[in-house]
Amino acid sequence: MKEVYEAELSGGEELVATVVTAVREALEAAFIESHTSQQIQLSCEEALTNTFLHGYRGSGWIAVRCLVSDEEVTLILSDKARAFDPTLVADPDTKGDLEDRPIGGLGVHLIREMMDSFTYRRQEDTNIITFVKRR
Amino acid sequence: MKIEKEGKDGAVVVRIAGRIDTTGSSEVSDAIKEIIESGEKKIVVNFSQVEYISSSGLRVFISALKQLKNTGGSLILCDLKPFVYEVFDLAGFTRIFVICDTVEEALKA
Repeated sequence: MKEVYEAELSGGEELVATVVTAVREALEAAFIESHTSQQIQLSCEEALTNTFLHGYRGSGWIAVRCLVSDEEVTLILSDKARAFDPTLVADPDTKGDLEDRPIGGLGVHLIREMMDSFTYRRQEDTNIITFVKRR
Repeated sequence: MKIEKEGKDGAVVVRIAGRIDTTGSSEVSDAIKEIIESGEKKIVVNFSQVEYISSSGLRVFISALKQLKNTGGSLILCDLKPFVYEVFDLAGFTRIFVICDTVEEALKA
C-alpha cells in the first residue's frame, strides 16, 4: 500500500474543494481509472462537507490520507468535531413521488452506494471515517 | 464553471460547463433561479460539458423541479455523462426527472 496523498489542514468549508482537487490529482498520478476516482472524490466531498457544516458548524482541523494498492484505494478522513457516526444515517426516500422527496440528505446515501466499505470509529477526541474502493 | 443561456423553441437552454460541486452548485442555483423568476416555464439543461456532480448539485435541480412543477413549468435534463447519470440514478432522480439524450429531443419533449 502506497500513500499518494497526506495533509493536515485547518479552516472552513473552503477546504473541501482544496482537498478534493488534491485527491483527484493524486489518484490521477497513481493511474486510478477516472470513474473510480470520481466516486472517491464525491465520497470525500460529501463527508468533508458534513464535517464542516454539521460537525464543526464552521471551522476546524482535518487530516486526510489516501493510500493505493494494486487492489484498492483507501481514503481516511479525520476530524475533531463532536462525535458523529455518518454510517448510521438512515437512507433517504429515493423511490417516492417528487412531492415526498427531501431536498437534502443524499450525500451519505451516495457514499454508501459508491464505496465498497464505509466505516467510522471514534478514537479519543477524533472522528475517523475510512472509505475503501476496489480498483 | 461556465453557464450559458439561450432561448430556443419556447424554452431556455442552459449549457453548463464545469464541476457541479459544493462550489459550482451555488452558481448554477443562481442562474436557474434567475430564469424561473423571469417567468420562463420550460428549462432544458445541457449537461454535455459536466463530468462531475455531487449532492449539492442534486439539491439545486430538485429544488428547481419542485418550484417549476408548482407553477406548471418543466425542467428537462439532457446529455448526461456516465458519472453524472450514475449520481442521478443512485439518488432515485432518474424516476422523477425527464432525461433526454440530446437538446433537440428535450425541446420536443
